[in-house]
Amino acid sequence: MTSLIDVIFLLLLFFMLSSTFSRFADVELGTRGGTGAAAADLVPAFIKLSEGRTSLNGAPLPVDDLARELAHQQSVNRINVLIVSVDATANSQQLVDILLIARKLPGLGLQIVQ
Amino acid sequence: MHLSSSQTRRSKAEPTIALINIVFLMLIFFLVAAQIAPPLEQGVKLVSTTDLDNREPPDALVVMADGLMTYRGASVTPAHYVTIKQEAGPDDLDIIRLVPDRDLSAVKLIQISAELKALGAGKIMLVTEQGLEMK
Repeated sequence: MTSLIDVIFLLLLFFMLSSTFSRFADVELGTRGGTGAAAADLVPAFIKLSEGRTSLNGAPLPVDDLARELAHQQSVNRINVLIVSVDATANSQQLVDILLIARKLPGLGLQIVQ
Repeated sequence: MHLSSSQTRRSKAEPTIALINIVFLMLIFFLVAAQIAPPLEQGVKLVSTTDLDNREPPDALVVMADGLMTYRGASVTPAHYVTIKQEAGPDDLDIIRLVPDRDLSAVKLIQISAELKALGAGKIMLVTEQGLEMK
């Protein structure tokens, strides 16, 4: 009986120490294909990322409003490519936030420039 | 003498069955609820996201906040990592997974991914940590 408990304790310890509860996901850096539009048909929107700040076409805009604003621009101005300019002070979290917004909007290409 | 005999009579055996039951319960809980994960670098804070599909824990190139890269605990350069991947399997270069720290400078991240692409990497995927809240 005691040896059984020993083994079960051992298993329990192993699984407690080697496992994780965090859930992981991944997102592609860059474009998924392109827009398919020729260079002449490109209507870009310009996003600038710097430390803690985002601006769309030169106007400062919180990241939370960005998805709505881009969807609006897409229906009104027919933008089909997003040019993301990354400042030296911007961090990865901001970049991934933009990637997530861009992948949710169909037909929107993405270009990342420094 | 009388005292000691009464003491030995009072100490009963441990309730073994109940103990086993509880330990079994915990074992089953951990088996079901958690995933076995290769340890990531200590102190790396993953980028947090909320609405992506889950995937298994990553075995990938970790990029720390200061731009240093480690793979399985050893610090590597992109060229070294590509060599490791090539040796592991010919198709392993098609998708390269990066685990960036959330405070890593985005410019640095882009540089590293450009470097990996120049070395023959196909798609670059960024591994993030999924938030617990549901959409």
